[in-house]
Amino acid sequence: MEYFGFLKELIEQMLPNKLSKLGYIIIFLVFVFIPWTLNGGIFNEDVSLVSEESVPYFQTNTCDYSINSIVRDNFFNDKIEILPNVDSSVQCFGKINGVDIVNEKIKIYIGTNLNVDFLLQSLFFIFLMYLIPKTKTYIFKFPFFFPSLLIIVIVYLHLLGERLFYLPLSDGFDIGLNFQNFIIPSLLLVIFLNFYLINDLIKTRFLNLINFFPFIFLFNGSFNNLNLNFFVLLFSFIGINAIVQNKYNKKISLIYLTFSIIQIYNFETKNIVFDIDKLKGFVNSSQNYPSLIFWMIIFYLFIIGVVFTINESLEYIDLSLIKLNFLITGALILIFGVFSAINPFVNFYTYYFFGLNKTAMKSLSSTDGNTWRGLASSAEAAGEFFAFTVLFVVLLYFSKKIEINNFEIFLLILNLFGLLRSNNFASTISLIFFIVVYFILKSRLNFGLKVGVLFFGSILLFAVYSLSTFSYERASKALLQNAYKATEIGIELPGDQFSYNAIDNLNFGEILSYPEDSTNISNSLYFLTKRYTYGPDISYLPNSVALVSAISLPINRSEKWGIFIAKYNPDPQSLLFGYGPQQITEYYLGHRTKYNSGLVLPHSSLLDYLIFFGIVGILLIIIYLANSIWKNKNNYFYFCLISFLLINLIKSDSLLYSSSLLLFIFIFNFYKIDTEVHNSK
Amino acid sequence: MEIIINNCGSGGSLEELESLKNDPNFVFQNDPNFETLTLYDSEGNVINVNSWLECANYVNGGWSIENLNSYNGELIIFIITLGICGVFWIFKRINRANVTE
Repeated sequence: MEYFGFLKELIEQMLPNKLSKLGYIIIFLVFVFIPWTLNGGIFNEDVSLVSEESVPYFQTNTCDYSINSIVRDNFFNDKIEILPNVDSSVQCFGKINGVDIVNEKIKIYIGTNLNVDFLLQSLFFIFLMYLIPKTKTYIFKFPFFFPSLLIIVIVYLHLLGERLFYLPLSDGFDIGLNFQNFIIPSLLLVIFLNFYLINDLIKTRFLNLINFFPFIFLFNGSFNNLNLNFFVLLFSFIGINAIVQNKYNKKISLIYLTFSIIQIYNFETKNIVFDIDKLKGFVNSSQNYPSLIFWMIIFYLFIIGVVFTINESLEYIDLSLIKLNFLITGALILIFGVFSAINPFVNFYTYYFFGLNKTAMKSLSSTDGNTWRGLASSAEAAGEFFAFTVLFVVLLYFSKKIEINNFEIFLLILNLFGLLRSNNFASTISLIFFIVVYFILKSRLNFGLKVGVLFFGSILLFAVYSLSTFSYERASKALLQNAYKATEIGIELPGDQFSYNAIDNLNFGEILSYPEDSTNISNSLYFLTKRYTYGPDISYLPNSVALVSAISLPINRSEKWGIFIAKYNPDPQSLLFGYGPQQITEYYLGHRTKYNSGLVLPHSSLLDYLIFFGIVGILLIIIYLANSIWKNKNNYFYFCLISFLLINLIKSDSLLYSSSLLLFIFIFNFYKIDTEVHNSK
Repeated sequence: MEIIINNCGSGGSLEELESLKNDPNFVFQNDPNFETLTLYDSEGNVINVNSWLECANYVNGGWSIENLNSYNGELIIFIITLGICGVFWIFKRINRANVTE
């Protein structure tokens, strides 16, 4: 009972007092039931169990029955799957627009519409913001009109640039601003409404935003039919205020501007659309100037906005509250993940209202190498989140003496279970590793000895693990082997007496004997093959390509990084300065390989940012990060958290998700937070 | 007649359209000089017509070049959004008036 008492107290503490319980129930019904019940009714008497026999009936009578009309008789129907039909008309929103039988499962497609989604989801996210408790009022210099107008212009640029992405989603999508076609005016008016409503909420909640940011991992904020994210727009709105209030880093902004000019100058327009899939809301789908400029602006404003929010609310950051919110979020991700897996209706509603990038897993059993991602779009990102939460709680306990109560221990166990189910070996190992690192750093050994123990200890552990599992001979060639496997070789390679060619025999040097143009191998693969074959031979040091390959194999990245090398074919300017933020289209579709469809990401945020900002950009980011970490090397809590994230980011694409990027920025700025803990109680 | 001219232009004769009613097996021929038009019915269904006669026949049956169906849908969302803005504006005004008092 103690837990329930605490839970009640917690809910009362977290929810604003103004709204009665009845008010919350009404709001819940308005969102979840009314739009999805209109016309088709609720608990419709005409409809019973959806079965193979009734499929033809639903196929004939499309747009007649709402999703909620089939709830009563199908709530426990494990044969059905509910999916959004993304190109529905407004009239068919929330109704059954199609039914198919695929692999003995009945797939029911529910109509969703660009304009309705934008309005309904926005209002729901704003309602979530309303739940953040009030603090002291913060006065923005330009609270509403100017930033809203600017965001409207920026979003119009987005709709203009990504027109090809939206065309199949909305019948009659026309970018022209006229009052014959209300698709665009309606979208832009919703943005106006959003910021009109947010303007009132944010003044009294701005200083509390960071305390509640962990919930962004549960409520991702991606719109169903738009390549936009609510929270990215929100922080961009704040970012505009940061600029007009002259509270942004001018040096970094100048460097960013220089990069942007070079990237625009080097840009090549193409009439292609990249299938954004689970990256929805935070990646460019097109290859033209308006979309490039949109992502340059929005990425910049988002970062500026997040940093500004952290800086302005430093005094109000409550570590014990953030810890609790991390734990609650992790537990809810797991709980909703389970419910979404066992019930198709919950699965659909969580996808829609949580703004997930893709629907939650539809089964409790693990797939894809024994991973279970639950509600998250990626098992890798989910594992990282759970591991980070555990590390955060443990380090707070030991470094800041923030105690954990019984309820939090219960939540912690749920988070650990989530980590176990996500089967993220690297996150689990790095979690244990950085807890050990923290205690070594806290010990009384001198600094040099600590560094020595950590450096050589970790190399030794990694080497023992790697060499006991894989031979160095195999590991050192795995990366190039996988890169060649992914390449569509333009020439016929001769076979030996067993019909094995140069790639089968791992004899990559032979490929260099052919003219580079004829082989269709990417210039990065050509360069690495050359380096591997003719690279400088330094005594006692392994070949650099072989070393990276040997590291990639035990962490299960040789295949994904190999595919990256096969695909990455930049010109010299793009290699140095990148294609621009969130620009993956040219990398993905620019060079023909065996992986030009589906979504095969580089599986390394370092490689993602190499695509975005090139070698020069990556070097600058590394220098900036290293400088900050070095300056705070005695802040062991900060050192362990940021190192944990950096290590994991090397082998995951997490920074392609706005929530993970926000977490990274928060932790990177963590050294600014006063070591004195502000306790909410 | 006016509706047909508004939708399909004035490139054909109504007599031909009348005679069409007596021939259930009539097959429409493409007119290369006729720019393909998209017609919509009241439920939002779409059809492309390639001759004036075909267009007139469908317009006679209630089809139109204006997609009233989808036009209304987005317009309704626009009006709802405008309505929410208005309600919120009034709500704020009342609140402000109360605070001033």
